Amino acid sequence: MENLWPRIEGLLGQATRPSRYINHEYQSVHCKDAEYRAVFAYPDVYEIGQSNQAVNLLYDIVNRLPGCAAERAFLPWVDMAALMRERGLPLFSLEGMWPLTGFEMLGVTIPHELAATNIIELLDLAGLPHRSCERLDDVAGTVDNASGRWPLVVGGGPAAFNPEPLAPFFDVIAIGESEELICELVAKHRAWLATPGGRLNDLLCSLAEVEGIYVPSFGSQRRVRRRVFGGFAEELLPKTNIVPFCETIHDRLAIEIQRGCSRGCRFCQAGMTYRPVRERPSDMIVQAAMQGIACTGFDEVSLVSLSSTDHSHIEDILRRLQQCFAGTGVSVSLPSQRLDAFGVDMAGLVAGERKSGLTFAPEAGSQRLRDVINKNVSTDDLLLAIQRACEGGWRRCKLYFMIGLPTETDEDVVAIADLANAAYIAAKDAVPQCERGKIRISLSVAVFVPKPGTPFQWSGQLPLAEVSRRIGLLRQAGLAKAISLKWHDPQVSQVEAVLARSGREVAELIEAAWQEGASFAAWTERFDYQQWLVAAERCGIDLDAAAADDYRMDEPLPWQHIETGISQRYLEQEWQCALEGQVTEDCSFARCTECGVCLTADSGGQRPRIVLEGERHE
Amino acid sequence: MNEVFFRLRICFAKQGRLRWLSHLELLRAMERLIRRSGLPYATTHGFNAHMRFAPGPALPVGTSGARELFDVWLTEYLPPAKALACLGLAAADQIPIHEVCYVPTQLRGLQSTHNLESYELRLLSPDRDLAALQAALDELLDRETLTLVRREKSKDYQTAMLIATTPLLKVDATDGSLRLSLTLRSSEQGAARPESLADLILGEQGSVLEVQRLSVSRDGEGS
Repeated sequence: MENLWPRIEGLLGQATRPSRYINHEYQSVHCKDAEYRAVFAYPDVYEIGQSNQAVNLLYDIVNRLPGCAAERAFLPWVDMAALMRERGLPLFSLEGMWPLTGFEMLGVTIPHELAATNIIELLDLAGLPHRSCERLDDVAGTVDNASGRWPLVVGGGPAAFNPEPLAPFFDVIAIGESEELICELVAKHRAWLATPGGRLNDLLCSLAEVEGIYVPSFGSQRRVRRRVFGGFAEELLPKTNIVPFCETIHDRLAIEIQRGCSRGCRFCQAGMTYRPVRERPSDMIVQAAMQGIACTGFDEVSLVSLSSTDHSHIEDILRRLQQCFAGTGVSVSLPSQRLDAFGVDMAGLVAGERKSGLTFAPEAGSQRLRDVINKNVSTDDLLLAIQRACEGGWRRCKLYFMIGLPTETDEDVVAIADLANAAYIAAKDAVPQCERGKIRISLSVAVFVPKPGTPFQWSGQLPLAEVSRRIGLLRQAGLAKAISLKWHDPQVSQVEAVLARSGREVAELIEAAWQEGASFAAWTERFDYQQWLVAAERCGIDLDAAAADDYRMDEPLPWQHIETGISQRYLEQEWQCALEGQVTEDCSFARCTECGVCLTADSGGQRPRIVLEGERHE
Repeated sequence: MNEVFFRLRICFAKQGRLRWLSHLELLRAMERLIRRSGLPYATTHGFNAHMRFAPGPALPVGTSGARELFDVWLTEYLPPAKALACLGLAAADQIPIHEVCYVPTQLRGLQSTHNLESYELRLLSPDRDLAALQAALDELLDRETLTLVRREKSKDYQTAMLIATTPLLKVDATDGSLRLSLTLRSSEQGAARPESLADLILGEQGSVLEVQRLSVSRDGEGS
């Protein structure tokens, strides 16, 4: 295979951030001899993709399989992509600087819906036909790998719970957690490659037997159950961490301390699709942080999960880490704060003297709407947390809200402003008079996007005009001067909703939007709604209807064949509770909500929060 | 009690692919290298405590450096050979560490004291031979001021102040490539890019293929 580095280096002088493309980062794996080569590609630039835990995890796992080598690939920024096309250079892997067609398997992360056109861009730049049905032929002499076939294109990631919009572009799609699935997939693929004259259909049939693997070409009649990694708490992965040269968006050592969240927010896809909650033991986490910092030289360790402060030993972990790293300039961070006094106390443990800002997510302004979405926090919780934060030295705070949630009224929108104003007053009252001028509160308002697999999956999105009207309502609601307001572009959220909740028919829209020039749609400066409108017209799709129409409870959903483990009955029940404004308690601490996960997941029966023996709270 | 520090000067190379790192990326790589080397580095006492270090003059993206300098403050004295071994181990094959030595802690920062930068440039000149290039160079050296252009912005430099030693143009005996060696002096006016000067010598047809900074030093200290 041709090492493309000499040709790539010739372009770096004209590219922004050349360090995206140079590879040879500390602890990257350069494996010369391997029978089987996989490349894991992320459909965004290096600094986004290298921060993604899944890429690092899969890279680490496959590199440890005997006879296998894994490499990484990231989408070049538009300037570099243009230069590469001009010079006839295909998308390359970082380690070997090889064309992606030189690998047996191409794994592509599906991180979010707006990455859809980037996935087409990735396949196109790699020189692969976009659709799985166009990659059936033997192409010996055209591709650079030993098998003489197109690489097996495998998708997977958080946005794969409705795989249909991207289904035609992938040979197989992994649903759920891939730690074990990837090993089984590689083994079956290798066995098939070793059999002369094997038909692709044989491979796909064999892969379809693996739990969690969806083969789009077999249609959506066959049900696919989400894969759950049962060994999460027993082993810490990845075992090694790459140290990037280029500054990444999460430029720190990340340790996943817990997976899953049982709080039950009804809009939250991750909260539904990563159950059950599994904790890693505190000793394992502390050891991994110490060892990881010593091996990598990072100056920050982040304890990541959907709700890190919910780890039953978080206080102990933070105190021990604080002790370990005292005087070294190494800091510890938590990605999110729980909206109560405990959350603020934990933030205080990691902040030390540096109290830059705290982020809370009340999500809705009124108690009524917070009950609808099952965000089990009260106005008092927020005000107390703000008061505690200001007493603890913080002066800046960010509050996340959503607009357009099911059942939202104008009063609920105005209540966002009321809550923010109340938070500002609570903050002012908690600090000395001379410090009051330093208080800043920023509101970030996202537009609600209904996601598959959640109790809100049947709900449509608010039409664009109505979203704009409600944002206008909030802007005129009389926010204090110290409160700033930012909101997400409703057009971006509409495209996100269309891609999240439609069926296979929008694959054509994705390809057409890419042809119209849509790429890096998640980057504000690159999103162009006009491109999507033109593409939708070409495909005969009504974006407004696709985003806003409700699904009937009795009609089949495009993602009906994907079993996340959460029962249909539970989702329907939760939707009903939402409409009635009834809350459901967190099953980690209250009674079982019978969501169905503990009965289906490899979790040892009825254990909503999996904690290793000896780690349980008494 | 007053803290006692030891200032370790690290001489290293920024070469190969790493020439594409920006100054900030290189600093971050050096910081991480030192942290994983296990050297007992000192930290600042601000709100945001970080490693105490002083880098050498910045190298632009795309320019390699044969002997770059980076000072780090240690809280304990380690024999230089041991410090070098620790750094070498942590650097793997990424950043070659040439040598380390201790320097007085009260010295001013490297960026303000080390004002001489020696470079070697590899040039491509399709239309001018060595003699023509030499004539162009001599003509430039005779000027009182030099107007150097970078990214469409021009800036005037006093020739005698800017050029510390007479530039040398030659054809490399090993690969036949055209080379320009020169030492530039940085001042309050700022540091000039050697490729801007080379562009004046080469004219419109020629181009600079590679720039390497050979060393940084102080006036009165051999480059």
